[in-house]
Amino acid sequence: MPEHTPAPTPSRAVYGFAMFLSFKTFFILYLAWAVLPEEWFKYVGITCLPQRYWAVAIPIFLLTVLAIFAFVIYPNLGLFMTPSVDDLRTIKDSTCVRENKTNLLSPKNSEIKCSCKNEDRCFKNFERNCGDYVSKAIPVLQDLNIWEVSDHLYFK
Amino acid sequence: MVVKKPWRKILYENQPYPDNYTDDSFLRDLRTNIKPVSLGEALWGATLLLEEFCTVVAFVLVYVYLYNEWIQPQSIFTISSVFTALGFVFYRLVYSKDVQVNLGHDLRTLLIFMVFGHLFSPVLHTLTDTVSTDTIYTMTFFMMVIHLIFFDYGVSAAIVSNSLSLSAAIFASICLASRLSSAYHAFILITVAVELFVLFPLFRSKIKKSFYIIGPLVLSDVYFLMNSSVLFMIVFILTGVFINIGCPVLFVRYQKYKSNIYGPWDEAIVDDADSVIEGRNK
Repeated sequence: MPEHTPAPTPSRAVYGFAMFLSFKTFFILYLAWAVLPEEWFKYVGITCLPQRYWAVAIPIFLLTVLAIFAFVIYPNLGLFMTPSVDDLRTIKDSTCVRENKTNLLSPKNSEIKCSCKNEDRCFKNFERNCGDYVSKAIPVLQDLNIWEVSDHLYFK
Repeated sequence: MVVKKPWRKILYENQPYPDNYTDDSFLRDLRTNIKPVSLGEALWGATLLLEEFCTVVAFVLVYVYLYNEWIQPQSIFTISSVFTALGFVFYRLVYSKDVQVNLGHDLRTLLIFMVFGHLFSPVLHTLTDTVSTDTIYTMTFFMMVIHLIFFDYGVSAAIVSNSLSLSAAIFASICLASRLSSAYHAFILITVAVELFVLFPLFRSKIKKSFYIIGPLVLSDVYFLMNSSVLFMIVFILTGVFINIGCPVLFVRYQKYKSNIYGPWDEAIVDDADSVIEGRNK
């Protein structure tokens, strides 16, 4: 089963070349239809062509759609989705820290007892001393409350 | 003067060269554009497109002859049936293993098509009757372009879609069928469409590239076009020359602008995964 692949396979080369040539050909045909006088087509017997109005109208329509989307609709969508300046959402969201103290795991030293014969290789022994590591550890990445930040910056 | 050890393209040893040193042998294994397509291959490959293009032109010619009543639908039916039967016998005798098993199945398919074709031809005949003739012709043109784009030329590409290609061709034939004078004409046109767009590609996919297919096809197209319109015969010949000579020559000449690089750093390529899988299933 052939798949879409970025590898330079021979079939991609052939189809790419066919696309290159056919787009050039269709562009020339489009220009001929749009520019040449209609009497010439009638003279050779081609009468079923659409009105040449469409040769200009469809590109203009598409360009207008593009311009409206790029300069009106998408910027306005962005503006609509932005909360107003005094909205609480501009300074706070669900990842914001609620509590001042973070709940980091700290095992209770007294609870851990072990039945290992080799004390040096006991893993619980490591956990027993783990309290030091927890207190020195880098905290989890999270947002800071804006008032906490202001408190630190301007009131001390 | 101390002679340095020759540089090697390795990282696991210290070598007496600076870190940014690049030896002349660094890109020695680089290959660009391996296996360029030769002119002969390109010309034969283009005949596949020309064959399908000729098939489309032949179908439109059948429509023109039926539309202008230059020929009786009965004789078109007879001629196409004779050719189809000959092709069928050849196909089954040469390319099939158990002929008798398939024969019953094929005859049943034929019977179903004939019965349902006759039954539904009045419906198909009036299906697009209310659409204007210009729209029908434009629609047919675009459907045939879609048919040619998505047709399976035997090159494995992701764009190929047999079902879309066939549906477009059948849709075009149904569009054209509504311009004919009777339901029987419409039935004949749809029969010819099925023969040309379903059975004929099957037959050609077995034959592959052969002068005995493309030669008679082009000549008969040219002959019947000459009888109907000299201008379109000239357009057809020019298009044929463009497809089968102009495009391959351009393709071979433009290959020098490609710069695909290959080397030992490439990931492994399974050359023909499909054939490997097929071989395992046998």
